[in-house]
Amino acid sequence: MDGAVEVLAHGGPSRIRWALVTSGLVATKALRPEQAQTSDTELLHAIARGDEQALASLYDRYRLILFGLILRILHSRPEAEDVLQDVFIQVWKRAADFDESRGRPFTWLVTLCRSRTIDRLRALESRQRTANEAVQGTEESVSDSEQDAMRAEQSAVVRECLGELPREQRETLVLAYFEGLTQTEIASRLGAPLGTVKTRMRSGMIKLRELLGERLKGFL
Amino acid sequence: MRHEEYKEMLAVYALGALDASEARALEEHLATCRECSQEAALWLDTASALALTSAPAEPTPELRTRILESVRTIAQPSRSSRASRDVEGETEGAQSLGAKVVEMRPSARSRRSFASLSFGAIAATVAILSLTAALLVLLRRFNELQRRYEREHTAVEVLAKQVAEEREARELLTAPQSRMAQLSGTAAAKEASARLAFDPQTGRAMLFAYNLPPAPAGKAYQLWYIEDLAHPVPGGVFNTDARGGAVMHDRVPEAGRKASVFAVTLEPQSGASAPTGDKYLLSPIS
Repeated sequence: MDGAVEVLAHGGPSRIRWALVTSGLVATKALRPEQAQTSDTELLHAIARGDEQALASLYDRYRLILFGLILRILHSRPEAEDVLQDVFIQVWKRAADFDESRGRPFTWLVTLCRSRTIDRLRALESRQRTANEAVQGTEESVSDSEQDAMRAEQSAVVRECLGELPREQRETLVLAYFEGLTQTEIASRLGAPLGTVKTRMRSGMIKLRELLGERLKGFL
Repeated sequence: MRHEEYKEMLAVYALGALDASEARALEEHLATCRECSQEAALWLDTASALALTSAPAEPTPELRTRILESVRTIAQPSRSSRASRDVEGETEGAQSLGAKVVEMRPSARSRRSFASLSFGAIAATVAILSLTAALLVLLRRFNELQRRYEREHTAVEVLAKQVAEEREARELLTAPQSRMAQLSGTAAAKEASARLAFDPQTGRAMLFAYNLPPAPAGKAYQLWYIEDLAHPVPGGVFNTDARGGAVMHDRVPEAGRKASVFAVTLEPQSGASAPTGDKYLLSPIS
């Protein structure tokens, strides 16, 4: 990874980012996470060998994204911190299972994180059903953290792509991903036939994959 | 179900939205279908991109230390136990969907060598295959039980935490030295209100807030303990639930234990050391 991308990937001051945007570096390099990805894979290999510093580096790199995701699902900071701790303990235990030929490190980490978060949500829901805020969340203007300019750029692209989906498709994706609802539960929540919900979800995912493939080359 | 039907389910599977029975059937198919497991990994990339649409949020700095301290006490699994999980195929993580493909049909070359084996060797091979199959079944069952244990253990931990919180709330609300304060909504949130209970001796505090508007992305509410109006002491940061309610447990810093005025402002999600945002809740100033 070269110096410019290092700064972008690990959060330099915003003025550095804007200097790079002006110089054209961000536009050409920020959307190529494969350069950072190599390091993610190396970090996971080092974690598998018991390197605590590598775990600390992975935490520093992804805590904002993962904590943001968990918080959006659970709406509670204490619970979200518990889950984030659990996620990194799982990463510690399971890093050796990661195989770069079978998937990307980012996807591995985010999928693990979402899965543990949804488990916690279901455990909490047995006592108190939380929030129907996820759907509204997609409509909000989300402020980007300047600490990770590269991810902020990607985030803007993903939000833009999601925003281009018809509302009813976007709604099913968000209910599934951020509220952990199954397609049957979504049909019941929306009062729509199950077949319709299945079609909306599949069409939404196909469209999203297509848009991300066009605009986020290298990420997908 | 046919291969094509399974393939159609992959996008929804990546969102975690299949019903349990469908997900189980698909996972069994994925363990034997390389094409579908590769396709599933791509759909998971798309689903994981959704994580980037959440506003980044900063956990408390102590969490990093807690994580690093806790992993020091956890030995990493040995290679043999990792290998057994690999055979069974994990259900969590992208890798599960790219589960290793087991080629069940012998290739042409292996059929030729199969024919040349003696009866004894065939019997031995059959015995080994049967034992391997039995072992795989046992491994699968073991992993299912382990996962169930982990799920239930998580639920028990959550309940234990809730019980501890409720016990703390009861102790706080019934302690003779505890003080209560009523906070009312300001012009920014006229419907909002809150009650604060705190013990000036131990510093334990609980805030019960009602009808607050949802905090914008990247923002959260923060409580302030005020003795000297010019120097509010920062308290805990919290978000509200869907109904605008919140219950926050806090520990009042020493400097805030003589506070007689309390306020809640809107601040960056990581909290602030001095108020920067609008006031939403305020107790009467005597």
